[in-house]
This record gives sequence, C-alpha cells and structure tokens, in this order.
Amino acid sequence: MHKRNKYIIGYLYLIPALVIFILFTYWPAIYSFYLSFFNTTTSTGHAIFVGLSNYVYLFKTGQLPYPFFTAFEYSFVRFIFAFVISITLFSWIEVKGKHLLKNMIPLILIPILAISLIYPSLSFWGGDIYIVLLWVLFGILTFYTVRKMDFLKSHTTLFLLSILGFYIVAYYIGNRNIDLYTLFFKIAQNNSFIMSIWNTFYFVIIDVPITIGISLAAGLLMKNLPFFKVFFRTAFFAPYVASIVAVSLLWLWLFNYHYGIFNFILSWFGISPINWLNSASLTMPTVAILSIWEYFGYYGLIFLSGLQNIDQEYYEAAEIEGANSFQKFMYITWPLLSPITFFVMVVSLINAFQVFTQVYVLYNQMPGPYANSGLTMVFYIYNTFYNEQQMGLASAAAYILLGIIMVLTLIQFRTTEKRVEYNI
Amino acid sequence: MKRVIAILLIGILGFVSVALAQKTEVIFWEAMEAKLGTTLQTITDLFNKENPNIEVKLVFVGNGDQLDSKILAAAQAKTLPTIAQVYPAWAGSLVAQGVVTPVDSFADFSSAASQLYPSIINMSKINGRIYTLPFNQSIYVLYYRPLMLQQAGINPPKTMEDLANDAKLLTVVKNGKTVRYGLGFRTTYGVLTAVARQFGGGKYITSEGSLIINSPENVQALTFLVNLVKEGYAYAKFDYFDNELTTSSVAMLIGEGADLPFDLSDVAGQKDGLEMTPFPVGISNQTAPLFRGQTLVIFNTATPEQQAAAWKYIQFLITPAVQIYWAMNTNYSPLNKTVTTLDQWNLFAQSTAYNPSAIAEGLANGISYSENLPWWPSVIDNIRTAVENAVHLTMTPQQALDWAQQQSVLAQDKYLGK
Repeated sequence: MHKRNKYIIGYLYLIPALVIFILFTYWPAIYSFYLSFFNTTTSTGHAIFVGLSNYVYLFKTGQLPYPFFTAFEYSFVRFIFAFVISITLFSWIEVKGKHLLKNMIPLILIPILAISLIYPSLSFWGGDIYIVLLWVLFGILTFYTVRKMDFLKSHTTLFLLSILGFYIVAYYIGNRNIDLYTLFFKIAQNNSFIMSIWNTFYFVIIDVPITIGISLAAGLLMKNLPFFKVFFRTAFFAPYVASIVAVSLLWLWLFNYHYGIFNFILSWFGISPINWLNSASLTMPTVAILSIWEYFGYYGLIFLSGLQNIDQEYYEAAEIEGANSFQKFMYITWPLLSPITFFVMVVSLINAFQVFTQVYVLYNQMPGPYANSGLTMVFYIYNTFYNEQQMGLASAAAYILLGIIMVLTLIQFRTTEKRVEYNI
Repeated sequence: MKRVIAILLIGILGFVSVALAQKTEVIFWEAMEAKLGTTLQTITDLFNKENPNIEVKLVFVGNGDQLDSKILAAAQAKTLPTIAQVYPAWAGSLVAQGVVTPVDSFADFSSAASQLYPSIINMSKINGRIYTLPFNQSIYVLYYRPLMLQQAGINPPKTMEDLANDAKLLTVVKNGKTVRYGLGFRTTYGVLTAVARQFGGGKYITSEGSLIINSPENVQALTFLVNLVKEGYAYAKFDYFDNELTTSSVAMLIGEGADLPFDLSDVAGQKDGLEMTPFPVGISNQTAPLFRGQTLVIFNTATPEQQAAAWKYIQFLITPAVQIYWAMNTNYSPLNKTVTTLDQWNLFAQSTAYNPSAIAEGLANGISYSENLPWWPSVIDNIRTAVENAVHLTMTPQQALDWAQQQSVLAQDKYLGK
C-alpha cells in the first residue's frame, strides 16, 4: 500500500510535464495530421475535406515520356547484369582462379554470356517482357551455381557497392534515356515535391557519412592530443552553438566566387574558381559543407565521451600482445564505440533529413540558386505553408517526411543493431 | 451635503472628460524596414498630432513575408490589427476569408479615389469591388552608372532595342574575361514581367481566368533576356547586385525604384553614382511601368470607430504632401495624380542627382505585378523557376514557360477544387 502511494506521487509529478507535451507537441502533431486531409486554400474561402488527395497531389507525375513498366524492365535487366557480374567476381576471388575447369560454367561462361547479352538487351530488344524473363532465369541460375560462398556473406556492403558499380556501367552502355533513375528525374522536373525528396536524399548521402567520419576523427584527436585538449574541444564545439544565421554571412564570403577564400586556396593549386553559390549541381555539396562544419564538433564530443568510456585495460592488454594503433582501433575502439556510432548515425540521419536553415541562409531565402536545386523537403513544407498558404498540403508533406525518416530509422535499427556491441 | 454634491459633480465631470478624451486606437501592422520605417513614423506622428482623438500605433512585424504569415495566424486567432500592409495575393486570400472591409464602403471614397491614378484603383479590384488601397508601390526602372555611359558615348536607353545595343557597347572583356557586364538583372518573376510588358505580354491570366503564361509575347521577352545572357552582355542571378555595384562590374541594372536607397549605399564613395531612367519602352512605344508593392487593408474585426479612424489615416497617407514626402524619402512612387504637377516635386526631381522623376513617369499606364488571387504565390514561384532555368540554359525559354504554365494550371485546379 505504502509503496503504491509512492508510485502515484511519482506519476503526479510527471503530469504537468505530460500536459505541456500533449498541448504543445502531440496535439499540434495530431491536428496537422487531421489537417493533411483538407484543402485549405480554396475558392470558397474555407477548408474543404478532400481525403487523400493532398497525398496524391504530392506524387502527381504529370505526363510520362514512357510507361513506368518499361523503365522498370530496363532497370531490372541492368540490375541482374550487375548481380551476375558481381557474383562471378566474388566467386573468382573465393576460388582464387583455381578449379577453373570444375567451375567452368559459373565462372567463365555466365559472365561472357551476360556481357554479350547486355548491349542487345538494352538497345534493340529493350522493354521486351521475354527478355526480362530470360534475365530473371539467368540470375537465378547464377545464384544457384555459386550460392555456397562465404566470402560473399561476410562482405555484404562490398557486394552491394559492386552491384551499384556494375549497374552504373550497364546504365552507360545502353539506352540511357530509359531507366527508373531517368524516369524519376523526369518526374522530379514536373513535381517539386519529388524534386525535394531527391535533393534531400542527395544531401543525406553526402552529409551523414562525412559528418560521422570527420566527427570520429575529431573525437579521436580530442582524446589523444597531449596538450590543448580543452582548446580544441571548445573550438570544435563553437560552430554548433553559434547561430547559423549569423555565421552564414561569413560563409557567404568564404564561398564568394570572386573574393572567397575557398576559390583563393584553390587558385594555389591552379584550379579555376568554382561558382559555389550559383551552380545548381553544387548546391547540395555547398550546403553539406556548411552543415558538416556546424555539426562535426557536436558529434565529435559525443564520440569523445564514448571513447573515454572504453576501459584502458583493453588497450594495455593489446599493447602487451604487440598490437599497432590501427589494430587497436579496428579491434578495440571501433567495436566498443559501436553503440555511440549507432546513436550518432541515427541522430545525424534524422537531423540531415530536416535540412533547411542552411539552404535558407545561404541562398537568400530561396531554394537554391536556380532550378530548385536546393529545395529540400522541409523547405518545400515551409514554402507551401508560408508562401502558398496551403496548410493541408504542407501537413501532408510533413507526414511523408516523418514516414521516410521512420522507415529509414527502422531499417537502421534492424540492420545495424545486430552489429552493435553493448558491453559493460 | 453640499460637499458631497460638489465632489460628485467634480467626479462626474472628470469621468466625462476622460471618456471624451479617449482616443480611438488604430493598430497598423507594417513591414517598413530601416529608413522606410522612420519615414512612416514621421508621417504617422504628424497625423496623430493633427488628429488628437486618434492614435495610430505602428507595429513593425518584420519583412513583408513575415507580416503575411503573422496576419494568417492572427486571422485564425481573431487578433487582427486595424490595418495592415499586405501583398496583393494575400489581400485576395484575406478577402476570401471575409475579414476585410472594402474601402469603397467608406464615406467620401470616391473623392479619395479620384486623387489617385485609375491604374492604382484598378489594382485593388477584387470581385468587382475595391477592397484595398495601394500604398508602398515601386515601379521597375533602369539604373545606370552615368560615367560608364558617358565614356561609351551613349545616352540612357529609351527602347528595348537600345537596351540590347547599349548592353553590348557597355560590356568590357579583358583577356577573354568579362570584367564588366553591360546589363545586370535578377532572375525574378518581377523582372520578366516588367520586360514582358514591353513586348505586349506581362499578363499571365485572362479576364476569364485561363492562364497564358507561355504566350508568344512572354516567350519573346524571356528570349530577349536569355539572348543577352548567352551573348555575354548581361549577367543574371537571383541574388542582389551589391557586389557588382561595389566593384563596378555592371553598367546598367534592372531594378525597382525602392531598391535605390540600398543600391546607392553600395556605390557610395565612388566617383560616379547611380542614376535612374524610366524602363525602356517596347512595342507600345509609351512608358508602361510595372508596379510592385503592398496594399493597405482595413479589417472588419476592428470596431466601426477604429475602422473610420483607419480610413481617415489612409486618406491622410494619399494626400499630395504626404505622398511627396514619402516618395522623396523612400523612392516609392507617388500615387497621387497631382504630385507631378506640383512645383515642390518638380524642383526636387530636377535638383536631385539620381533623377527621381523616373519613378513618377507613366504611372497612369501601370499595372500591378501580381493578381489578387490567393494561389498566385505558386505562379510567382513557377515563373521565377522558369526564368532561372532559361537564363541558366537548362531549358529553352519556350520549354521553361511551358513548364511554368503546366505547373500553374495544377495550382489553379487545386484552388478551384478540380
């Protein structure tokens, strides 16, 4: 009885905080979900219930130059080609060129067949369903002949990268106009929301790995420096606390085409000046540079705290065994740091998907210099909400962003958590 | 007893006098930054002094876009001010929400309206009624650096053809690198519209409501701009041209009158300053300016007294004396017809180096840059993107405007609930 009373008092203490959360966080969130089913800017002057049509509007493709299925067929053929070649390559590495006679079919014939088929498949026979089926058979056959390989299983990332590489090769061999990627790009031109998804992913792909790499390096540096530790810690952390709006002025000058210090430094190496702020293809890299600079100190500090939690005994033991610093990093630091790395990965990914301020301040409140090259998802939401007053549409877009972040975080949890070593 | 009555009487008298002296408060949400703000404050102080029973309070709420979004929130929360400055599209949206009192419903509207250019009154028409009155309106003009033109031996261009030729003459190339562009322009909706107007376009929707963004005239105008960029005589970007003015790397600049205070400060201290000339004329052969700016709305959520007081304040704002003072200090165009006939203005125009008469020329022939339609911001966005794509040569002018047309039709359909 007495114990239960204690619990109740505990919960009572929590209630005020909960009320504030519900009022100012959950209620607006739920309300905006409700709002996403309304068209708020209408000729009648009041909001109208439109069901899912806001979501449909966001993904309207406009006129397609060719059917989606054709693009899928072409992409599929490319994928199987990349798959077959990758598998063969990995098998070669596995058997190291031995037993060639025994592995004649999978290791020599199949790749030759694949290479001789790819060009006709993508040029003259393109889009034929039978050709696609042939390739499917081909893929299954390859997979069956070489499925019992260990090297492949232990190097999944490398395998995926290899598939990507060969896919790109196949893309450049055949008819480049027809591909899921090209089709996506065509759709993005007519649909700024899809463009914003593309830009955001582009940003995330540049930003997250580099941020993690640099902040890990910064963390290691901050831990292992003999002196000036406090100085570097403060210096690296300063960008995170500085207002991005204030420092944007500085960055505008750094990136300046005529007088910027980046172009000045490049000129030492004989590189002609880069138009950082007025080039559509460089928009996302430019924004990423600013963003990495802003956050690496913060994540570096998190890495530092993780590094300091690793027991020194492991290193001492390793030193007695004669391990070098690289081995110590690979076999002690990296595995024991994995909970922190995982945390930083998840947080920085969520953060990167919400990129907005950096674009807003660098490009004079515009989505990039031209061609909407800096239109990120949050920018789209902001623009739809503030400038076009379409609250319903903006809410729908916000929920799609939420969905994307949730799915990706879930994937991260499912795929990466197994590799995380929670010791202690 | 006498004493009680005396106290009571004094009390009643005091109360009545306080009640009578009660000022009608007019809250004005404005977006006039820096010098514009102090000018508006001076004007307002004068009005408050002349009208002791009205107190107009200026509330600065950030730039125009911030003001618009604040009004949006206030309309939902029912905490609207008495008057506010809004962009035309937002005026349309507020009218649709039913929170605006049409200015034509006030007494002596017609006498107030007769002082202004009819073009100004036409801008404020929504569904056949006059809901708002434009206030800070600036027209597109051509800026030029007088010394550069003098060195090239040319006068400021009068026609679009001259503009193209002069841009060519004023461009300086050294060692294969352009060190000075003849013309600079921002890749905005407004610049294209101002140019398109000279080609007979600049209108994006017919009176029946069908979009004509990719009309031949508009395409021709965009082609004109793109060709200048392609040939290397013009430099175009979205950003402001402060760097280029500071370093003297553009000779002429398409801009709005109200940009002048900012642009002048960029060339401050340089031997030759900056002068204005009316926008070069096109096929119509007469000055056809494009207005860009905000309009004043009176909200019907205020009390009738407040609304009447606000109307009085607006009438004060459009008197010739105030309009001259406003134009002299901010370079916004004087909207009162009589201003250009007044000696005070003409003397000022003649004696001032940057040629302010350019901001008052051809106003009767002007149109607004924007339609009073709630979905128009999407059109502005689409056309801006089209200009950018064409100028950066990722699309041809025809393709770019076709694209803008197609996108804007989608926005219109969404608004109409199709």
